[in-house]
Amino acid sequence: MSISVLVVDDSQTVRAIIEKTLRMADVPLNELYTAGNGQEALDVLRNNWVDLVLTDINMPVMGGVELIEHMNADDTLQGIPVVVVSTEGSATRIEELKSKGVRAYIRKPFTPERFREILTELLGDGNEQ
Amino acid sequence: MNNDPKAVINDVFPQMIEELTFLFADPVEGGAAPGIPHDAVVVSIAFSGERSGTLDMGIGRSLGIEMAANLLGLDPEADNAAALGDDALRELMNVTCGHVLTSLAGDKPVFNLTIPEVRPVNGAEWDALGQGHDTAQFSVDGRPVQMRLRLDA
Repeated sequence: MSISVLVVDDSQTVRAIIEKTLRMADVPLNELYTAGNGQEALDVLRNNWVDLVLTDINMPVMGGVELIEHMNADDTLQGIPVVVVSTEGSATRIEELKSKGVRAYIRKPFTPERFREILTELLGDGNEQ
Repeated sequence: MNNDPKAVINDVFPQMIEELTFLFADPVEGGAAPGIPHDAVVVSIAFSGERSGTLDMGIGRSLGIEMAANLLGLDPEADNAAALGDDALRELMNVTCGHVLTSLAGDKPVFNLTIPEVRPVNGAEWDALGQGHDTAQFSVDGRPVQMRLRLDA
């Protein structure tokens, strides 16, 4: 089963690294969408089918926490799994994110193995098909 | 946790730049500010929370372009090379600051970070950054990088 992923980060460099990492981790991608902030991400989500959101926290215009809150308030978006990919190292903040429904957290810098591990946990081995 | 910002930077920065950009940073001890790169910039990120302050990095802009080239397969002569180089420098700073704060304060406090800013610097500003007793200095493939954490009173 291939999946459609939305990568949300204000850094073009990071978006490219995540795309490369997903491919190195053999994640079967259907579509890969990108957005530079939370507002752009909401626009993508409202116009496309997305199976998984990978989002940074610290972004201009609309940050990751606000994006998650908007998704939680929208019946059509609240079921989409969200993984936070951030430099954040605070256990307190990570717990707060999980209380908002965030499914997993990947700290930057990351490895393809870490992505693979998290996505297998989230999506099951079915993503290998 | 470690209470010495320079020691933390000496520990964290080489690890971050290697993992993120595949470049190697060797700490340089000596005290005198290294010569200013012809394309020197300072990348700054501020933080607030349990403590507030700023992390500054003095570096040559061309090193950012090299990082972007490593990461993205970018042609260093491309029209957008400078913009992508600055983007790589901002991300390096963002990641370094997050790890520096965790090393200094542990994983309980929550910090809010600003979006890193890149600005050109002149010789006097470069020297001032390098003369701080708490400034960490590095050689990245033979090119100077300086980094200092300033904590607000």
